[in-house]
Amino acid sequence: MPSSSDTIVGIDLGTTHSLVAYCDAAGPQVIRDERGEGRVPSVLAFRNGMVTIGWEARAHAVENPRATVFSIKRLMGRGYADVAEKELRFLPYPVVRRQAAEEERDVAAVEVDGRLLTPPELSAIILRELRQRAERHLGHEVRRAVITVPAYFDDAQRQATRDAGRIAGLEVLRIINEPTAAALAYGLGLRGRAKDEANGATVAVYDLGGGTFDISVLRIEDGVFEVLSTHGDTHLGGDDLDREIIQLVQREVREQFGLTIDTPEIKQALRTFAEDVKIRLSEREQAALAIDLGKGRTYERVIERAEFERLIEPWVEKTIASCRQALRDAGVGAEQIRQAILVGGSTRIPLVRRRVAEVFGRTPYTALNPDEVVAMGAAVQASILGGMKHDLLLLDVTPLSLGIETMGGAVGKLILRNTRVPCRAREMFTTFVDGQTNIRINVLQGERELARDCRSLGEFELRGIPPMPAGLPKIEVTFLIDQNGILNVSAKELRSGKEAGIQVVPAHGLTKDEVDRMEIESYTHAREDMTAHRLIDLRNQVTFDTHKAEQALARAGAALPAEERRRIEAAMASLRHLAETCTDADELHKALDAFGKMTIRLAEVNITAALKTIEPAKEADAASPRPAAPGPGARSAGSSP
Amino acid sequence: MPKTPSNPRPIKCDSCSRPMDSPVCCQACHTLYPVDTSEDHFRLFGLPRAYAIDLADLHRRFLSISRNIHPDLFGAQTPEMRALSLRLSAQVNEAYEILKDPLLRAEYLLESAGGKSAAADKSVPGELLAEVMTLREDIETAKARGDMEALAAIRARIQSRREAAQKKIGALCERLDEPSDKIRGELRRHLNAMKYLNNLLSELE
Repeated sequence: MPSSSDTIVGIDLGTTHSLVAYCDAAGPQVIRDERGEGRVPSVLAFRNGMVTIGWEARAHAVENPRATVFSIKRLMGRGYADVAEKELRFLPYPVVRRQAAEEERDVAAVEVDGRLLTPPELSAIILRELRQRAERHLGHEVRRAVITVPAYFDDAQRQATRDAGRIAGLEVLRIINEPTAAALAYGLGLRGRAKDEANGATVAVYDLGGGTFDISVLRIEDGVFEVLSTHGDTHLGGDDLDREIIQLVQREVREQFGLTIDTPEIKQALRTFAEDVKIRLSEREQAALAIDLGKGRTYERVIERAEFERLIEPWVEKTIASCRQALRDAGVGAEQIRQAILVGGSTRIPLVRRRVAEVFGRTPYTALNPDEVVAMGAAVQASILGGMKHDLLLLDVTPLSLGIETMGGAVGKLILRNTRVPCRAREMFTTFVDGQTNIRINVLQGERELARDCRSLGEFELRGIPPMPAGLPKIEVTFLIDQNGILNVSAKELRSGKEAGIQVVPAHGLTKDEVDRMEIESYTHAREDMTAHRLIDLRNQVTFDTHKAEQALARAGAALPAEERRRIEAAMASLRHLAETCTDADELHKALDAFGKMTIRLAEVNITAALKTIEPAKEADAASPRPAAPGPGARSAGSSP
Repeated sequence: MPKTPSNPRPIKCDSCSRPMDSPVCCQACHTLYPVDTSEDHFRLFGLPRAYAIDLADLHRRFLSISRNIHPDLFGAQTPEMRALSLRLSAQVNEAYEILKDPLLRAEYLLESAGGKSAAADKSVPGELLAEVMTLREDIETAKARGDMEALAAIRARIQSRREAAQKKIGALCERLDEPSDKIRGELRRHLNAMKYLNNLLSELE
């Protein structure tokens, strides 16, 4: 157990799974559940105002498809228009465009269980769960975290992740890139000769996760992890490979049975089938699949590994093209890469391993747990920020070029991709009209030449420019990308020396006020969810306890005075009634306790009666009597003879 | 080492009085100094203003400074210190990107010595334009024929032309402290020529 009462945790907020880890003297530790599982499925199931998270939510996804939310990461920082085009047909849950005061703002939201929740709010529920897991394990409150994101995440996606942390009540000290985190865990895990050999080496981290792909080229030297280049695709991962199988099945069912299978239930079931087939094909040469279509019709299919590889080849080739681009941008040849490190669950696929080996001309490094290494790296970074490790440093880059829209819809690049962060650029602006007091700047990220082909981060409106003839004001705008890869903009009118105010309308993000409000709402909801959860547990306990009391009364009630029997029966009825009507968990808890106390005597006579019924039949065992059916209070009476 | 009249003055840390390699931070006691945003890029690294530079040495200096000023090291400090480390890191990163690239380094030397920017003076050495036109035609012909050998030969021609320009640029940079418009103008033209040649090379990729 760490001595510090204020551990900073590292969180891998993944498309399919999320993990939380921390660092102690022994190194990074993933926090596990009682079964030793570190992963929490990034799945939320909503029902009757309650939300369940993780394995349970995932297990019931097929029964509850419209209210089971998964792969939220693919929606982070995206607009509805974008989601509708690329994702919607694969999602069984409803996504809508959120109402916003500004018409140009387009934020996607999920409509679930009568609530409209944005992707950061949904991610916050997962983060809160991870936070509670860490708090239970560490035995103290957790308030600060490092959260990982795909290296290729743009500004809006990073901001959305940071907002999610804030909504979950976490101070997000740092957003770090997943492949960089993996490299950190890799470098730290090396011992002896391997460590000496890695010093001064250039490595590549190939990270193919559930929804995103990154490739980063790094140099590791004397504890400095220097990213040379990064490339990737924030919409390319295991989900897309599953979708190839889903589309194959849908097409064949249509051809063979004339059926269109795309109801939410079937979509959800197909997802589970497809994922299962994909995983099996990593181990075996073929996987069988059968789907009951009703009315005696069954779709049966055996998928060969070679066929699956043909289906996913275009996706894998996209990742290989990214690898080549990253090598070019880093200015290193494939032969200079000392190690190609595999991260992310999808790197278990044989085709992926084969292609990576071909590109880098060496067997990939697979010794790391591809599911856990990112969270471990995040924990290492957390310990650097906490001042526990002075000998390590990450130097990262910005994945995308930053620019502004110029006349005619072209893009004026200010910061090129793969520039080391923090970095800054300054640009001068002036007015076009006499007396003009504000200027709007459309800030863009991307590599394309036209503004409409890049991602708009939003309109930055400079306000409070002193009225002057057109062209006279000289406004210097500074664009600063910080170590998290997040843009900060400031402006100054040079003639008057006045700082110009900047109003930001995020294109696909939330404003600060919205995040503040969501944090409060989320806290309230979490308390409500917790109360609801407690009520359900208490109601179950009432059912159990009253049922046992009933059995005890039937068996041993005769041993009690009639008056006491009547009191117990009355108490049982009123407790059952209370359980049905009461919404105050504390009140129900008290009533349940009182009922337990008044039935102690009944429990005792019941055990005595039970022993009597056992003894004649099992004389040899009489030395170690066990009650056949422990009644209420049996635990406390367990030591009685 | 390049010969230069402008060696940086030795500086001492105000808090621990030890000598500092960079005006940005004291590597001994980790004090940060809010240097001016317009501070000379070479001086940030404790280097003389010179075109000739040892890239491995520059990289070592860059890492050593980064180990003292990166925002990750100031996470637990006041917002002012965090903002300072962010600003200094951005400044040092920018200076490093410029100094490690020969073309940008020369541009920086020229402009900070009062020379014109590429936008203000687009002139090139007299013979260049005709040469570039010929090269471009040759590239197109070779590409149309799919003649890889010819393309390789053209690439070699451009490369040797670049090397010649690079030498001239280096020599002119060493003379920038002479208050001469002629030298600055000539340097400008050769830098502009370099851009043409680089564009040609990227067309060949």
